[in-house]
Amino acid sequence: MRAAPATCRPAAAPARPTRRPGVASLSRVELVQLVGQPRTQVAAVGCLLAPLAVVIVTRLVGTVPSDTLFGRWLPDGGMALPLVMLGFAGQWGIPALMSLMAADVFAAEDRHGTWPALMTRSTTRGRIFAGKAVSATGVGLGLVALLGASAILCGRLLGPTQPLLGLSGQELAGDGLTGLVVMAWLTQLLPALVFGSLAVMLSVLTRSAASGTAGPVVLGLLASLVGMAGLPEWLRELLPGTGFETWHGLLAQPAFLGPLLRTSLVCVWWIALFLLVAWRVFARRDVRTS
Amino acid sequence: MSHPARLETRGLTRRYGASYAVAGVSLRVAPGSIHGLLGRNGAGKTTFIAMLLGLVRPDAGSILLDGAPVAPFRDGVPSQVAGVLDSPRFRPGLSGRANLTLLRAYDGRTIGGRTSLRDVDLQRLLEQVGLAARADEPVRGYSLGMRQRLGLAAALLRRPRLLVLDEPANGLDPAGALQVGDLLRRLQAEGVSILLSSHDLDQVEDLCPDVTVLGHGTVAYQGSVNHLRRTAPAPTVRLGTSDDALALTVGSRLTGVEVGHASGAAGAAGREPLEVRAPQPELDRYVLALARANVAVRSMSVQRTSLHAAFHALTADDGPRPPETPQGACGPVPSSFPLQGVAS
Repeated sequence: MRAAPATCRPAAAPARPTRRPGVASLSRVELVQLVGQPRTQVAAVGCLLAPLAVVIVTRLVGTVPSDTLFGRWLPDGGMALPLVMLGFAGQWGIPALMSLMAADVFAAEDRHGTWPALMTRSTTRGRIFAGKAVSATGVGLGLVALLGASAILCGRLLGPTQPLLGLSGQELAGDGLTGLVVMAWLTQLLPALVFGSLAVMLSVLTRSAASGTAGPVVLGLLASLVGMAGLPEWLRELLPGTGFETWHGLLAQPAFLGPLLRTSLVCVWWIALFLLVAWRVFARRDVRTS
Repeated sequence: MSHPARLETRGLTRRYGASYAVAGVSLRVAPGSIHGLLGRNGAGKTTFIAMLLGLVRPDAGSILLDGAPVAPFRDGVPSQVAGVLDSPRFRPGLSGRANLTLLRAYDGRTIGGRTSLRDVDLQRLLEQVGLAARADEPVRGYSLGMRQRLGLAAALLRRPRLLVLDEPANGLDPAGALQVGDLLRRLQAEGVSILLSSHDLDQVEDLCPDVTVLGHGTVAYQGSVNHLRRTAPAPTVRLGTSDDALALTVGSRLTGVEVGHASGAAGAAGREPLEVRAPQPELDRYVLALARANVAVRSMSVQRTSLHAAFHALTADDGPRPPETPQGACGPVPSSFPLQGVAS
């Protein structure tokens, strides 16, 4: 240790009461940390390039995913590209993105043994929890938005005037079609938050990033399988993954928004449940020393 | 009217299942003083400190800061309190400086980009703990001693009036430990109160006029180090002589002197050395008696100081244990549980 100066004034000066950092401040701090991580940057680049990769692979392989909604129009470019990607993303892509971001933000502190360092600062557990949950799910939602924007932009560039047949056989084209596709992607945000909240909960409960990441993806796939098992519609709408499919109603003539509204409420319920469980565990947890 | 203690705990208790980790511990740390917290591994020191720092929820008892009750577990650590737990950990991918900046943000000192602690202060703090030269290296390459220094810097960053330290010299070389001692003295001189938990009895003896000794989660002794030393068992001295048999005989004739072979220890020429337990005046008489009996004293080493002896006596494995409760039962610590050796 070097010779220390004769005074400790910076440390020992009487502490002025400081305003405790709010959720917004802590979210910003965590956001900066998350965005600076390589996996976030790799995921962002992946989201940017994924639509282009889909187009290239489709053209190289020479076959089209005709059994997928709007898949047969994929080679023509246009809005078929973001809609096909939306169909796949809802099954596992968005849950994977959300859990990748949300699972580690809590578990990493357990892994590194850094909870004591954070929890002995001038903030409360509630604010730490909220700051971390907001930043992690916020980055996840940002990546989903980036994927959607990239797909829409790519589709516009490859087929700027390519019309599309809607689910009722009506022709969709121009800015109206683009607007519908943007709305369809926006409907993914609430279900995405369900999976982000699930990842937070699993991360807090198990203190493991692996289970927090894999859990939501597996649940998303299971929900899709169960959804195809001929369940009554009301029961299907209660599943956490059904909200990913309700954008279909936007492309019908006339549009049917009932499922979208109902699954939105279901999503809010799941988000509240997952976050409440995570918070209860987090708030009562003893932080053992490293 | 007397000043309230900077820190006071009343009956602080925490248990896991049926056994108490900390059972009804009460202590006071006066303003501007360094109070030692001693105890063997598992005595409850770290759990006690973790309760003070809001990391572990107390089952019973209260914490007062300058006379006002606080609840760190529920409300967060008060801004005038800082602490470091044993072997502090930080984000390994960030540098020491970046970790401090992050923790400073958690203290609310960089809200909206405005910094109330200037970078020059941060640099001075890093110099103070001897980490300035390596502050920009990733923490994953830090030794335990360097992490201890960073932990100390992180605590001082809060400009605390009460500093709670758990084994701050752990992992430091002797020179580093001495400098931590100097730093604590300077902080004390500037009015900071310090609760110092340590295994290093010499450091505690050097820094702390008052100590609390924990044994099995309860207060085994509370009071001044001087009082503890006065009432301690005699120190133990290991002796090498020219004639051990005669030395034993001489010792057996003196009152107040216990002499025997040190079991398991090898002395000169493979013989077990003698171990003498006697207060200093009796030890002096014994050495003079050996000289009169033509027994040369070839070596003499103090094995256990009076403070060490007192500590071992207070925290022996067969010492008092808090009673266990039926599984799942919950209630206050029995008030009849004996607190031994509490010196007023």
